[in-house]
Amino acid sequence: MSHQPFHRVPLGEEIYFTTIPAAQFKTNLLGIHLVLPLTRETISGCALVPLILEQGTADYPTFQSFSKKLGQMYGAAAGSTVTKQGDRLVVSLHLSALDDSFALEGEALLAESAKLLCDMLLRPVLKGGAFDDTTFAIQQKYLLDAIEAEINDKRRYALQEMVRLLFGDEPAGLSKLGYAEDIRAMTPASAADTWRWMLDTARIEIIHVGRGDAAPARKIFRDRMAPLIRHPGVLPETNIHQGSGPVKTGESRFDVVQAKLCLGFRSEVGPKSPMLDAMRMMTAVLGGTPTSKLFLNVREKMSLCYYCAANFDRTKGVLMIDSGVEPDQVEEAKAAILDQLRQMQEGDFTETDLTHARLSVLNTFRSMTESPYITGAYYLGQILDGTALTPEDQCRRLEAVTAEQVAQAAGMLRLDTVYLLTREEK
Amino acid sequence: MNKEILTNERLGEQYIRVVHPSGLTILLCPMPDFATTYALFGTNYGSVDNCFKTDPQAEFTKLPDGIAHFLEHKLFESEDGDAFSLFAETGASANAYTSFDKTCYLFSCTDAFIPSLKALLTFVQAPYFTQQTVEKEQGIIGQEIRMYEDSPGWQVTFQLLEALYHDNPVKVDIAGTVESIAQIDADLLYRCYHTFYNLSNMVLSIAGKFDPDEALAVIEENLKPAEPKPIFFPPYTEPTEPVTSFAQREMDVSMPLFQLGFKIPPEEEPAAFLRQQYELEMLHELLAGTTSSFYEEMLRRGIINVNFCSEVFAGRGFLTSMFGGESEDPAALQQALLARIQEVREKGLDPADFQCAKNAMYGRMVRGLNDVENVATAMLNARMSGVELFDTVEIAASVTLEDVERRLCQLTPDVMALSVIRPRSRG
Repeated sequence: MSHQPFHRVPLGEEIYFTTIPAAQFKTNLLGIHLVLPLTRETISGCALVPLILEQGTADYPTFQSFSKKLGQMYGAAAGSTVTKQGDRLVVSLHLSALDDSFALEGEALLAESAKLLCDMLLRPVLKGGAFDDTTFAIQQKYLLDAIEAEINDKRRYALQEMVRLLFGDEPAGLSKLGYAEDIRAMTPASAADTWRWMLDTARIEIIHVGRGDAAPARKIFRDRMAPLIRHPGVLPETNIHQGSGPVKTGESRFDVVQAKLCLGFRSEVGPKSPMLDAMRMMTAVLGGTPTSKLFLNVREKMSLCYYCAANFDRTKGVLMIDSGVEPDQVEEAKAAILDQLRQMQEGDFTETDLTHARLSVLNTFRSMTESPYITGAYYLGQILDGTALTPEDQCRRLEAVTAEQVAQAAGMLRLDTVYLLTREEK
Repeated sequence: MNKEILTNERLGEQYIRVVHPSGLTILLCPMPDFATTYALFGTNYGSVDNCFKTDPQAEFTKLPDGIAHFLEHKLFESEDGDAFSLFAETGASANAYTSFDKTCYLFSCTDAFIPSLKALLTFVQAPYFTQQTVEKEQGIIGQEIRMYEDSPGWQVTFQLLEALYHDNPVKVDIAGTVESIAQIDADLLYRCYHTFYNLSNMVLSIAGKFDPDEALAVIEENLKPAEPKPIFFPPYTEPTEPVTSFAQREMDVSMPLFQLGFKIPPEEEPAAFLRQQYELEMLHELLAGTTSSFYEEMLRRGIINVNFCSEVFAGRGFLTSMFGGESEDPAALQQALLARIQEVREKGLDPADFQCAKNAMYGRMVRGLNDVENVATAMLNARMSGVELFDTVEIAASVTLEDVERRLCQLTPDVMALSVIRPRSRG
């Protein structure tokens, strides 16, 4: 590798600040990412706390006053996300605002964003050490509603159910929204305790993406975060394995017209595996593009499904195939999908298939730096994987993958779980 | 070729507009700091344009619902195979979409821009339909329609449009129905193609990493001009009042979904229509946006959750002010919103809040130029609305508090309908 793609400096104990200069954007995106172990005991609190933190700060204690503050900053966008990264959890707060050069009155928007984002994490609205009752109640209900609403989007729901079944008791199988019974049992005081625990133990990654000068923002983060007395724990390594035993199956019935069929495969191919690039190519040839084998054969030629796509989760070495099928063609679709995978394993794909897939994957990697959020997420992924590859580095590695390696990667997959969401029996 | 450079001082941006002799408008915005190029080739033709004539003396003809979307699917197929295979050769990521009033074909690439552009120009200008391929597509689109039938978010919106509109085509699903698409045949597709895919009705918009002169040379070589054809649409005849003020049905959802809409006659002149949309957008924010006291109060009373949002839903021949989200009591939200509108009519808007909403809108517009896809799409959308991208920025900047207050009289109970999707009662 010819150069460090980003500049990451420590600000305090297990607190790092990374800047990714990107002159093409008219905005600066700041993100604070708390990296934590994923456990059944803490997930619900970790899901609820960011929803409270994104609603205001001690200086802007109501959602209305906080929203007005963002409005004055030319419609700055603040929010939170919770994502699973293998067997770890990442709780993020982010704020995106116009670059100072577009401020009509010469406001220092990047510095103001840094202060506001620090306040969101460090100075929430507290009364007697507990979160504000009303904000807590609103966001607690919102989260409970969101858990119930998971069934609204059947495609995503089916995929999630498959993933839960596949991972079983592993941390990665936990729901990132948390669990209703635990969320119901929380109080404004216990949620604030979770917030303190998160601040105390998380590894903290702060990432800036944009054209603005990061130095003043970095200083603000350093001044605010370095004095924190913290006790960061050791983050567990994600467990990546092939699994064993018979194929797990699950089924749910709803009042739907189209069925969703999801297949989950395990492998030992993780972020640092030498086979990762081959597995990415394998996924693209099989079901990652509109000229992939699944799309062309199972959808176009056999008309067995409306969509049929493959995705690979490198953090756990899992390949997921999901499809929307006619309820009475489920078995045919499943057989057709498995047959396409068998062909991959036997090397039954053309040089053209491989070239097309490669061009498409290279295009995807080279497009990674086209939006601030995707750029930030990409480099956070690199940091968490313990790698430091630019999209261009990835492309060079993908270009070297051979057909034999692709077939070999396909051979490393073991069908683990089949999940079907279909219509109710008449 | 008539080539102009359009500039905007406020944003410090510029792009090139070329009106080709064929009538095609070409919009080119080189953005050399980006790694990708995004190109859109679109026709000003969507699902609402299913009743038209090309001869001013003739009667209007009505075509089956969903034909614009069907045509979009079919254009991807040529005599030699699938258009996707053309892009597979270049690595570009290609796609297409049909909305209520436009159909666009697009690709995004990091390499091989010129061959990808050729591929886009080639397949969009080479219709190939046979009875056999049309029949196969009826199956695939039938599946797509079914997928949307299971989507509560989609259903709550169409249920609202059906409640609001008497005979406006916007109330029909963009993909049509299984019955309507069964009436489509190859001849009808050719007829629509030759009417609406005339270059004078189309826009080609490109933004990102590319050389505009090189692009123009390729475009020049690959256009197939035809005699421009005037297209006439029936006038807006939608009655003021809705069909019904309330509609509901049950689906597998966890809590009620609602969409509340006010049907408003769209302004006729393009700039006035856009201005109307910006004024309403700001009014939405001031009435019920996250910076309003109303939003805070509804949230605190548990009548809405943070998914509550509004939209100025507008296109050729329709405009609806929409407020939607999840609520255990959509009727209470409706009552409170009407009371809020009445209160603002009496007391007026706060100038400081107005300035804040305007700043936020400016910020959104600048932010909209943050990536190549947005820029290409915004240039095309503005042009198809009858203006240019920079006009939209200036129109938004010129909106006053009084303009926004004037729009309040269009949000009245007699033009309103409420659509609700309730959880299924499981017995």
